[in-house]
Order: sequence, then C-alpha cells, then structure tokens
Amino acid sequence: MTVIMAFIPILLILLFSWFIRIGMKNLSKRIILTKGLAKGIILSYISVLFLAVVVYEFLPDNSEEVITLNELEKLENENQVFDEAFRKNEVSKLKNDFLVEEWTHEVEGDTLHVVTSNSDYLTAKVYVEWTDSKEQQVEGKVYRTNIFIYGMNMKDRIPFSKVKWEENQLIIEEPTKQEFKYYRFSNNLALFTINDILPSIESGRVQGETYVYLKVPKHINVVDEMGLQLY
Amino acid sequence: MFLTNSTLGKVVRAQVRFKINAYMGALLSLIFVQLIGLLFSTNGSSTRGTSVNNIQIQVITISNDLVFVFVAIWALFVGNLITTRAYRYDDFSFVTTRLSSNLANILVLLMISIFAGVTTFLSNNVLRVYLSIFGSTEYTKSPGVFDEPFSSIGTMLVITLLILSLSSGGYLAGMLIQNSRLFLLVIPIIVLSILTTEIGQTLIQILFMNESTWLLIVNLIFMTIVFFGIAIAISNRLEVRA
Repeated sequence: MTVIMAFIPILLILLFSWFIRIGMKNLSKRIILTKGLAKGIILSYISVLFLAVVVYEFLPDNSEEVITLNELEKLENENQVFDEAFRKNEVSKLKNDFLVEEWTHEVEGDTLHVVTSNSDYLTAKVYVEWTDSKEQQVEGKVYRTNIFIYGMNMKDRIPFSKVKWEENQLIIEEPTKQEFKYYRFSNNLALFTINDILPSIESGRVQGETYVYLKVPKHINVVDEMGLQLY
Repeated sequence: MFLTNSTLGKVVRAQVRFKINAYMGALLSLIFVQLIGLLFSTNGSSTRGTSVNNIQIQVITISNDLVFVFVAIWALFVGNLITTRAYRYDDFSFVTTRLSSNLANILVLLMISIFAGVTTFLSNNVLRVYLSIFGSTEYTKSPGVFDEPFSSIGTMLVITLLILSLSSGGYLAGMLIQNSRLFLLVIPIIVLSILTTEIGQTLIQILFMNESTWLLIVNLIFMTIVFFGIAIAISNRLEVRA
C-alpha cells in the first residue's frame, strides 16, 4: 500500500506537467504574444509583486503582537520562575505584572468550599497560605502568566478562568467554549523547518496559567470537594 | 581565415542575449504556474490547532510551499525543454560550439532560476495583501520582507538554488533522452528507485535534510555542478545537424 501511495505524487506531477504542456500548446496557438506584450506582462507582474510587499508593510496591525524567538524564551522563563515561586510560597517573587485582581471576602462560618466548573481538572492553580488571624476574612490574589500560542500574544485574547464568590464557595469558572481562527503568513517553506533558516517562532508556545493565591485564617477549613490538588 | 575573431565569452554572451528573448514564453508560463499555485494556496499550506482553557485556536499558515511545488515541476520541465531538438537548432544561427551552447543554456537557466526564486518568494505577499483585505478570517501581522531581511534573502537563495538544481536535473534528463530514447524508460525507474528505496531515502536525507542551511546550499550547488557537468559531457556525443 505504501508503495502505491509513493507513486501518487509522481502521477500527479506527470499529470500536471502534461496539463501545462497541452495548455501552453493550445495557448500559443490562440494567443500570439509579441515581444513587447510579453515584456509588458512580465514587468507588470514584477511591479505587482513589489507593490504587494510595500502595501503589506502599511496594512494595519489588527492582530496580536508577534514576537521573536528570544523574547519567547524570555517569557517562558518568566512563567517558570513565577510557577516555582508560587509552589514554594515565595510571595515576594510573584511578579506584580501578572496580578489580575485582588480581593478580600468575608466567610460565614468555618468552612470555605473550592469548586470548579470543570469536572475533570482544576483550571487554575490554587495555593492556600494559613494565617493566625481570628477574623473571617479571606484574602485572595489572582495572577495570570504569559500566554503565547504559535508566537502570538493571546493574553488579552483568550479569556482565562474566572474566580468568583457565591456565599462560602470560591468558584473557579472555565471560560465558555469559543473558537478563534487566524491566518498566519510565513516567509519560510515548510521544507526548511529542519534547517536553521527557520528560527521559527511559528511553533513557539508559552502556556500561561491562572494562579489563585489565598490567605485563609487557620480556623477556617478549606474543603476541596472534588478532591483536587491544592498547594 | 576570418575577418573577425570571436572569443568564447563573446559567443556565449550573444547566445544568452538571444535565448533570453527567445525563452520569454518560459517566463510567462512561470507566471501562469505561480498564479495557479497562489490560487491553491488560499486555503493555506498547513493548519494548526490547539485548545487552551476551553478555547479552540486554529492558525492557518499561508506560505510559499504550494507555489514552490508548482514552480519546481515547471523548473524540471523548462530544463528539459531547452535540450529538445528545436531549441538546440536555434543555436546554429550562431557560430557556436557544444561548449558555448551549453554554457549559454546554463547561464539562461541560472537567470531564469533567479527570477523564479525571487518571484516565488515574493508571490506570498500578493496573498497576504489579498487575504488581509478581502479575507473573512482574522490575520496576524506576521513578519514581512523588511522585518526579516536576512532570513528572507536566505530563503530566496535556497529557493533559487533548489529551482536551479531541479532545472539542471531536467537539463541532464533532456540530454540523456536526446542521446538515447532508452532513457525515457530508465530515468523514471531511477527516480522511482530513489523515492521508494531505503538507499534513495538516505540519499535524499543527506542532500536535503541537513541541520545547517549552509550545508544544504553547498549540497545544492554541488548537485547542480554535477548535473550540468554530466550534461555537457553527454552533449558532445549528440549528432550534428543534418
């Protein structure tokens, strides 16, 4: 079967070559091109190509920011440093640029429930720091790290998980299902992806996440009913 | 005894000038082929999809790949075409030798390949402008020629060399067929063997799938020189015009 499959592109090439040959023969019989006309067509074509290069430069940038490979590595590094600091509870190292919101919430009673809208996994990383406070107040900070998909900044484009309170429940909501479609133009041939001519950010990806940092008084129990992992 | 003595350089120059004008049709067919390639490219060369936080992201990449495939077939065809009897007989309008005729052909193929390489690379911008203005899908402002000048020149160079090596392959195939019709059968067998056998695959990997672009460039130049060299050697065995 694989041998037959290998022949298909060759047959297509032969068919296409034959098609061009016949097509050009018929065309040359019907259209008699003078040297001047031929030169005119070629020059017009070149002009269109160069004009397209210039016009493209002036087209408005209605898309997300596109960055270089080095910048992408830097952002990935920032995310890793943040993640490590978050896991180790090194609050001072948590980058403030990633801070999305900050709040305090008064919990009634002695139990705080952490619930997620997704039944399979927690769509945000949650860290609980216990405090000696005798009050009922829970302090929270929501962070969102860099997210670049295929080298495009998606931070403001992709809605991240939202955190909201309903009485004593902290609900981590996954965004509603959406689909984004983009055209991306490439100067490179896919053929060269294995060569160093393509220092490509096209496949570059920095997976950002939502982090919830909670400061909870020790006398309040944090109940994770779904058995999800809390740090 | 002649009134004027012509050097090899002068003869080649005169032949190149003649052939460039005579092969204008090849350039027109190239434009036609590129336009077909562009038409097929509107759906994108590749599509990538991913899902993050319930959000589906689909990125359609528009590149030169399809245009290049069409141009590559054209290059093989053109390399082959100029070895045909009708084209070779054009050379008899000049005081010429097999060597000067071959050198002129090589120079013409080189010029045509440069033209094809540059236009193939730039043709992507026509699609960029068209899809950005008339396309219904959002686009990302990917780097243009001015944003990545060195990478663009590198890509143009490699495309040109690939086209030249393919046309040299076509030229060699044409010369072999002109020498003996038996090669009409032998060449497809050799090509199929390369594509389907393990040794052939290894050869393709060594030649084209290198870690370094410079190595790819060197390989392509080497391949082109070998193909043209063999073609020149073979052409000396062709019969003279009756």
